[in-house]
Amino acid sequence: MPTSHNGWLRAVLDSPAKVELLAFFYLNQYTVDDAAGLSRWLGLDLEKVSIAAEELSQAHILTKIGEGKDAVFTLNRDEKIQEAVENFIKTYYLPLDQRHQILSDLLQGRTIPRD
Amino acid sequence: MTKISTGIPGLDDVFMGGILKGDAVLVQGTPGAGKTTLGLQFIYHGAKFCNEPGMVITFEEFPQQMYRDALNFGWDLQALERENKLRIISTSPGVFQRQVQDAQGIFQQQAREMKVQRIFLDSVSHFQRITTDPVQLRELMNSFLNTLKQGGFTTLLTQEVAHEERGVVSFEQYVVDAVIRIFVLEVRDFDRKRFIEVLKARGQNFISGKHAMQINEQGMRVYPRPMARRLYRASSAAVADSARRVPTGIGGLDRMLEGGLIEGFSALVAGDPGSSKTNFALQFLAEGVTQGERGLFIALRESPQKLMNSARSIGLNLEQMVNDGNIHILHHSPIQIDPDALYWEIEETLQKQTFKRVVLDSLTDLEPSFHDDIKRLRDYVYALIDLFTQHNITSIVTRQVGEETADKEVVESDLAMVFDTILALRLRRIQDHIRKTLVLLKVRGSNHDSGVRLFKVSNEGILVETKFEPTSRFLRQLQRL
Repeated sequence: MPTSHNGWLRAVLDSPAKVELLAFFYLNQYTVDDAAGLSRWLGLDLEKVSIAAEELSQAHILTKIGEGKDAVFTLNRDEKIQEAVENFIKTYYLPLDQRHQILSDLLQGRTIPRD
Repeated sequence: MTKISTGIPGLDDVFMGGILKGDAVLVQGTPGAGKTTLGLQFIYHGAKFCNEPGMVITFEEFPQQMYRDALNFGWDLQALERENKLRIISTSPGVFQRQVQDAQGIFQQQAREMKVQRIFLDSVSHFQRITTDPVQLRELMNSFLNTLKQGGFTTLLTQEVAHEERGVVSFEQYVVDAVIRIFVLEVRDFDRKRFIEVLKARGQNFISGKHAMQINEQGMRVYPRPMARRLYRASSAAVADSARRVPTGIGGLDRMLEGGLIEGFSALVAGDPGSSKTNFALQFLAEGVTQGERGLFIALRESPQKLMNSARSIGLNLEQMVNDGNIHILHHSPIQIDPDALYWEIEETLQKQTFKRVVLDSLTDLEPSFHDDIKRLRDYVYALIDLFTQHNITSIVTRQVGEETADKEVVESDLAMVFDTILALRLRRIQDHIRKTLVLLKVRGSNHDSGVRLFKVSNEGILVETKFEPTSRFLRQLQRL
C-alpha cells in the first residue's frame, strides 16, 4: 500500500520511462491518454511507455480506466499520492542536474539514491 | 438566443454583442496566428469573470506550455484549476472521441462535476490522426459536435490552415455554427500584422470584413473596422445658417468663412510641404483654448516636443496649454501606426474626456497603412469624421499634396467628399518671391470668400491678407491649375 514516504516512490521508479512519465503527469496533471498517446507526448518508445504506465497504475500512482489498447491513464488524485509525487518531482526531477543524475543512474541499472 | 462574451475586447463588437451560447465556433489560421491565445482567452474570461467553468482539450501543445504562456498575459490558469473552474486536458483525438461520446466517460463526468460551460479544443486538425477519409472525418466531426451541443457547451475549435488564402473552404466550415479566420498579412514589405474576419455566423449578424487584431501583454484585442454610424449629412445651407460658428483664430480666415468653421463640421487643410498646415491646426486649437474649449491634437508625425517648438515660433505656448489640461496630445510614430487601433484609441479618448476641437496631423502619415486601398482609406476617414461629429467636435485634418496636384484634383478626390470644408495652402512664386497662398476650395452649406489670398506666418501667428491683387502672370498660373 502506498504511503507518502518518498522511499516507496523511489523504489517504484526503476526506469527512465517511469520517471519521465511521472514528471509528465505531474506537470500536466489532467492528462487522460492511452499508452500510444503518452508515447507520443513523451517521444518515447511505445512498448517502454506501455510497461511504465501499467506498472505505475499497479502501484496506484496512475489510475487505469479500461482494458487493452483502449485503456487510458490518469494521475491518481489521492492526496497522499499527490504529495509523494510532488515531493519527488520537486526534489529530484525539476533541478536539472539531479534529473540528469537520476536518469543516468537508472540507465546504468542503479536505483535512485536515498536522502 | 443568449449571447456570451468571448472575452476578447473588440471581438464581441464584431459579433454585435458576443457569440451565441451553445454554438460551435471554428477558429482557423496559419501556425502562429494566435488561435490558441484566442481560445485560452475565451476560456479564461468565462471561468474568471462569467462564472462559466471551462475545459481545454489539447492534442499537441502541452498544458504546461499553456500555463506558462497564459501567465505572460497575467492569466493564472492553474489557480483556476485549483478552484475547479478549469481543466486543461492533454489527450489524443481517438481517446477524446471515445470518451466524450460515452456519457460515463471521463470527460463528460468531469464536465458534469465542474458544470463546464465552455470548451476549447485545440485542434480539430488532429482528427486526421483517427482517419484521413473525408467522409469519415465529416461524420466524426458531426457526431462530436452534436454531442457537445447536447451538452449545452459553447465550443471553440481551432484548425490549422496551410496558407492565407480565403478561397479554400473546408468541410469543418459547414458543420460548425460560426467561423473566424485569423490572417497574418505582410504589410509595407517589412512587417506582418494580424487581422481577423468572421466568415460565417449562423443566426446572428456580424460586422463583415477584416479587422485588425493585436496580441499584447494583456492578451488579444480586436479593432473592429471603423465604420460611419450614420448617413452623411446632406449639403444644406439651412444647417449652416442655424449652426454656431467656431472661429479658427486665424486673422482673415474667419472673415473668409463668415465667422469660422461650422460647429461639428470637419475641414481638410491640404497643402504643399512647408505651407504651414500644422501651424494652422495649432492656431485653431489655441483659439479654442481662449474660448474655453478643450482640444485634442492627434500627432502622427511631429513629437509633442517638436510641436511645442513649432507653436512657440508662432507665438503660442502649447506647453502651457498641455500642462493646464486644455490640450491633449495623442502621439504615434507614423512607422508603427495601426489605423484601426488608432481609431479605437481616439474613440476611447473621446469617451473619457470632452473635447470641442480635434486636429489630425496628418492624413499623409496614415495613408501608407492602407496600401493604396483608396476605398478603405476613404471609409476610414469617413468613420473618423463621423466619430468627431457624433461628439459635436469641430475638426481639422491636414494632408500634404504635391505641388503638381491641381486644386481641382484635391476637390474631386475620393477623400474630398468626406470633408465639409477644404482649404488649400500653396507655395507660389510671385514676383521672384515664394509666397504662401490660401484658397477655400469648398465650404459645405455656407457662403464664403472664394478668392486666392496671401497669408503670412510670424511670431504673432498666421495672418491672411484678405485683399490680394494677383499679377496677370499668377492668374495665368492659377488657370493652368
